[in-house]
Amino acid sequence: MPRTRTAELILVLALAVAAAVAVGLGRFPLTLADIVRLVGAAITGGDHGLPAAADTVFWQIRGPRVLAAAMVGAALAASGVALQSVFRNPLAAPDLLGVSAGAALGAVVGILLGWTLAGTQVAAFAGGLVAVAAVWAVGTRLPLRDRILSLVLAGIAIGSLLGALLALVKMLADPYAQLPTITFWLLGSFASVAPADLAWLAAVGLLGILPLVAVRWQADALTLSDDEVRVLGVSLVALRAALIVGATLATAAAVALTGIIGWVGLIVPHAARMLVGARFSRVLPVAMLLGALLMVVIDTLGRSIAPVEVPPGVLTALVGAPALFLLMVRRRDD
Amino acid sequence: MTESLLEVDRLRFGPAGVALSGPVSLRLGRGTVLVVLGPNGVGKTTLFRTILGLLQPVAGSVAWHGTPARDLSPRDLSRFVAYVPQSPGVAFDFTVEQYVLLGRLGLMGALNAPGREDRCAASAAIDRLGLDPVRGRLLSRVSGGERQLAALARGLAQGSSALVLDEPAASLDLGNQVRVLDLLAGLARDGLAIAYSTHDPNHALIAGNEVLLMSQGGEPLHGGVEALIEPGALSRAYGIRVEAALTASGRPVISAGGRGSR
Repeated sequence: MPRTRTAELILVLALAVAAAVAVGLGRFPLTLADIVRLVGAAITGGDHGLPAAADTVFWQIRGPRVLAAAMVGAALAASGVALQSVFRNPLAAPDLLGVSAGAALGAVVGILLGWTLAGTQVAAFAGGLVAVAAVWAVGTRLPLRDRILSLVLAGIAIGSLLGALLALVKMLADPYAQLPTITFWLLGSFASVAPADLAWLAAVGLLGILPLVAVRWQADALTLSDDEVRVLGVSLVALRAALIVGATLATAAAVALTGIIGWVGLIVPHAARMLVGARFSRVLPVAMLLGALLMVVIDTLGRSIAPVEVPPGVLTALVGAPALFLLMVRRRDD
Repeated sequence: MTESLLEVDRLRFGPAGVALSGPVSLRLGRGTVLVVLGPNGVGKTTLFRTILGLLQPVAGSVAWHGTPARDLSPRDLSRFVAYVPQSPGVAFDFTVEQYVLLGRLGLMGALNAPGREDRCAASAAIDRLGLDPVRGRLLSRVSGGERQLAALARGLAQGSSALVLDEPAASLDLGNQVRVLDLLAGLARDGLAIAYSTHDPNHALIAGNEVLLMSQGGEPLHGGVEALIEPGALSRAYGIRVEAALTASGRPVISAGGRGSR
């Protein structure tokens, strides 16, 4: 049986083009030839013959930023794919289920207490895990027949509770030194990503993606009811644990570094399913590529369309809200 | 003497540890079709869930191949029995072929992709149910009857020695009902043990060797088709007037209601 990987191929090419454009655009433009020379010089150890500023812009500023955007987009999309499977709900997402808010609360507490990035990452992970566990515990105990509705209601309740706690932490923060950072960070930002942060993001993100990749075949069982999954001989507990821990790690990695960027985890998995069907093993890589592409484009737009940077969270919401509306309309048709 | 796959001994069952019905004692061997009949809410699905090890028995025991269901790992149990629930739903829109392949998940290694053997089993099940023309179609784009057949194919692809089906004919038109019942009888002839529930006693006359007739309040009755698919037993179980008649070709049929219904 021939396997077509057209979607993956096109997305990889599109991502490469978008990344090249993103690295080139800005107050100090770089052409494609410049980029090739800079990379070539780094590989061969020779001289690229460009001003030193080009070197700094590429390796220290824009390169890491574009890479961070791609990794955050991929991590959020993967997280969305996993959570939608666990909750059997195509409308589940890290932001709707309180994972993002929980991770944000953890991270903000970390910032408030002046922790290192590692400490903030751990706090973000713990916050996300507690939030998703609370939503699961409350949502599955609601006496409603409609499980999707129960979980969404629980997500809204837990999410607003976390929002209140977040507001409280903001009040406690130093209004001059910490508050601007926290506020700006709550809408997401790639502006302050340093090359050293990338290693952390990659490591924690990868740690989150790994369990998702491991269970990519068994995860399809979650389209069925709990009873059916058990009689199939699939371990429901192990499967759910792998997906929830993986999704929370991936979200925490992204949130701790660049703040809350909503909508990606909700919309991108849908787009991926429309492209390649419902199988987890294909949705996961396609959604990750699509998320990376979307995030690179959004961040590039955010720093190019206006004199001040538009936070990526604002732009994803502008794209995501109408997209969600369209999805709801489509669902009613089915 | 046929070896019994399933042994149910003085089983009392119900949700949350409260006995809803029982006691039930029966053995299910290869080649047998057990038909479970009874009014709504009498506990047919609860009985199936208990047999499948999804619910603990309130009293008595359920054993597959001599091992109590509660001591079997999900993986072992999946070798013995496959389950086709009532109106099976899906959260994500798979194609019929992908959906049937889900039946193989417990047999594949936990980290493995479906192999050749899995694809062959899925294909064989699809062919047996006549789903070949729609194998590439999305589940949301096939009829309710085809979805039900796909669920049956998924159970079949699991390759277990017994099949438990909760109202497999409920959402099917007359033609598909008979097709599914004939198929179940055929699978039993091939050596599978089958248990299914239905609301139509006539189904037991088409596909059935044994009957478990459940009623509200009373003890479930277990016996042969001739003994239980008859007006007296059925009218006691359902609380209505039931008549038996012969068709022009001499086949028995059951009819309910009419003048003098209680």
